[in-house]
Amino acid sequence: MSSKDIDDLRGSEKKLKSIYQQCKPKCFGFMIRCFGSNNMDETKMFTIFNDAVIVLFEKANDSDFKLTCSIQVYLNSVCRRIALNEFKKEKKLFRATDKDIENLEFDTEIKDVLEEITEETVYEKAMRKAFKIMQEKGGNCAEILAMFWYQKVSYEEIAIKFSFKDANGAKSGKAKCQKRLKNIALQLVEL
Amino acid sequence: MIKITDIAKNTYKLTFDLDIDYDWLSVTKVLITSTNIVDSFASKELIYNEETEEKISYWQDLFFMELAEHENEVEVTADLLNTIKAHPLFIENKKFITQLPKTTTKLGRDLLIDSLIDTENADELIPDDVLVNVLKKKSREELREKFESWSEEKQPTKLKFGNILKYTIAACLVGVIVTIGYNNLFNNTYDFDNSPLLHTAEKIIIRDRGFGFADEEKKVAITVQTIDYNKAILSNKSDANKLLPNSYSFVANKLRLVLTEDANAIELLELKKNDFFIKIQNKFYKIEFTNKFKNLERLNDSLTIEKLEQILFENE
Repeated sequence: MSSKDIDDLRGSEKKLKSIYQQCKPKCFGFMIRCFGSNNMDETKMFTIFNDAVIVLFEKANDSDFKLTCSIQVYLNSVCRRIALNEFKKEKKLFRATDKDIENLEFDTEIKDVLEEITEETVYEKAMRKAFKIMQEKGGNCAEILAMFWYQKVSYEEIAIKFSFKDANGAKSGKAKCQKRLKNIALQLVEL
Repeated sequence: MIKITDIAKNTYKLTFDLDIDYDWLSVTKVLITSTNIVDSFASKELIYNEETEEKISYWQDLFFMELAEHENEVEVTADLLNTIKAHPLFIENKKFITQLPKTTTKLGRDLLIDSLIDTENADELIPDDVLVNVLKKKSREELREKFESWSEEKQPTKLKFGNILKYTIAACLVGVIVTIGYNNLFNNTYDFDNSPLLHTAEKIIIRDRGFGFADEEKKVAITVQTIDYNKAILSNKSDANKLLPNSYSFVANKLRLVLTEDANAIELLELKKNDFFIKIQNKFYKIEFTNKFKNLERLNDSLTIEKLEQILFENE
């Protein structure tokens, strides 16, 4: 898995899936070697690894992001960083000597973790609530918007997934969803 | 690059569901400059297809939303761009569009991980052949238990070979009938109403009402009771054996479902009178009135699916 793969990763869920499947066992092994099997159960490793893949996906969509190591080493490093943060929250401390980590593949320079979704303004809160209302309503709008704006999925793929006639149909559907979300959000701001 | 007149034309079509030949350049100028769009169009007589005030305002908002989203791709002069950027609707929509990626991040992350770990299609978690085998095994276990209790009973007389053959055939027939019964019509003895796993929700039947013309008075609600089969198995296996996975019963205004997948998003639709469908996650199933539990049959007719999606979309 080379760093060149990062270019192919942009906008390709298939590529991301292949990275996910290839890197998962080594990341799990890395976490166990780093922190010991007593401190790392399967569920914990799974959550940490999923977060690390999200970090990779979000970084890959940022044109300023430059990968300086292999994707496996990057994911190992992010997993380690996220795990350390988790342990910090649990008030557990890990001190590793050079000997302990000399055979472990990770990059100490990498400090990337999952960016917290912070709420700042009344408007942002209203948008989040409006989106939640839309999600709970049971229709496809929330999913369509998440696929388009977060996953950067094409209109063609959205059309296939949600049975729109074609890409133009998906585009119209997305536009209507956005208008609807905005209307709900504005009503919530006014409340 | 995108022509600004095309944005005006496309958003008109999206709002009024109509392809029409207007003077799009003049129409676009009004859309960009006016802060009272209804009066502006009324005085200039540029549109004349009995467009309602409400929809004209909707259209202008949608127009500016598209402009805000494609600001850097639109073919406009610097002066015109400044006029657009100063319009209150552009400012409002720019704020909205800028915020959208952040708003969709949480759900986007969840969906991404779901797609990567291959649990999107819950049917794949319990393949049909496994289910059939479980049901077969259950029938066999029941028969074995019966055989054991029979063997403990005192044998009145020795059986002749002919009788053995008769009883063997009868036992086989019982097995076949039990298996067929499980796979087709299942008389559920599970205590639905008192189950701690029961999830109940009132659902309005969604009908084809056309976009924006909801008839509130004719809304009919159905009680949807759902049991998660996987949770039932974990909670009490012998009780769960009374359930048929992925099945339903539908009587009067009560729909009962036994599902093997997460069922937070259920929609109930009526395409024509008494022609009911349910949507669970992203899959549609046709259902009919039945007091016995029947297997949920997934709908494969793409035309019907498209129609149902359209109805759902218009009723959101």
